[in-house]
Amino acid sequence: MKIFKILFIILMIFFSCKTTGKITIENTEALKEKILKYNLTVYAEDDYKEAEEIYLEYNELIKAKKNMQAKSALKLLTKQYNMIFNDSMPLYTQDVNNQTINAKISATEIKADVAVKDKYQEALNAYDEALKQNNEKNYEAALELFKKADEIFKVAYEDAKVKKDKTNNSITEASTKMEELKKTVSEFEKQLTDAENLKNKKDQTK
Amino acid sequence: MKKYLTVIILFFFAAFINSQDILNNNEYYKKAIDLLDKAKEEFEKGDYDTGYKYSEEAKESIGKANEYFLIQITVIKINSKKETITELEAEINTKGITEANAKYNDYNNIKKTIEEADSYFNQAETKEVIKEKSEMYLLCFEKYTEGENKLNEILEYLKSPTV
Repeated sequence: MKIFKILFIILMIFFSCKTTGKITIENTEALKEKILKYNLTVYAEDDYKEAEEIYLEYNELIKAKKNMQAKSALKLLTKQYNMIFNDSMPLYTQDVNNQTINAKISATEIKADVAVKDKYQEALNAYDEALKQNNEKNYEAALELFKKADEIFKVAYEDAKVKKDKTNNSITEASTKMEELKKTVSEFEKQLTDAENLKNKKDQTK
Repeated sequence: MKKYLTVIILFFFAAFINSQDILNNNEYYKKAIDLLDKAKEEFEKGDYDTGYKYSEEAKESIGKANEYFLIQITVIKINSKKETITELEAEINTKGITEANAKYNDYNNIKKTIEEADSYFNQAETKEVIKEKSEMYLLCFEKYTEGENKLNEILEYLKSPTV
């Protein structure tokens, strides 16, 4: 029984470490890279400035080989980066979503849903999946899907526009030709009427 | 074929034809209008590919409508020539033309020219290709014009004081 208890405690410790994640400078720097990648600093300028100060302090403590204090600084830095990331990601995702909504509106307005049905559907599928991920707070996945949908909606718009312009030109050309024919016939009618009048005049003078 | 005959018969009997009649009797024009309407309808729906297809077909049909209109004009001119020829023949017959007359053989030859014109007219009616049809009507018109000119010459001769 004792052996089982010990084994249970060891396992608990193991899983606890695994889920918490180890705080290392590599992990913290990876987090910082993500913040910079998504340009999240614009949503938390002051917080990021503060994080940068902590980062400098950490580096100095490492140089000074004050390991215990450096560990505390790293912990604080990680906390700061996490806060920036967690608070800014929903905002950034929403901004990208808004951008995608605009692309979607443009594509719908030009009737890309009919003109380039498959492409539009592909964008819509990505967008729906992005919304789903967003609702589940999987912001990174949502972000990539919003961006993908935005790109496809834009392509769908451009493709539909090319088709629309081409058809519009063709219809304008056909309409012009039609009007020209009507005009020619109308002019001929006038000539016919004139000839008829001339003939009537001649008949009267006979 | 029937539609061409209907149009031609109409021209025979109509003393005066307005532009609406001309256009309404032009099947290609009517088809072009229908196609252009369909093109606009599909364009509004957003089905630009189908709209383009209809629009291009409409353009093709308008081209044919133009060619057919030229035929219509030629047929009108032919009918006018026919009327003039009938009037000239009646006038010549009133004046009287006998075997003793120097222009008697010429007068008989004109009948052959007019028969040729009639033959071209009949051939034109049987042609399915618009271009060929148009060429036949033009040949017919030329023959009637030739006949008309010769009849005028005979009439002038008969009117001269020496006859």
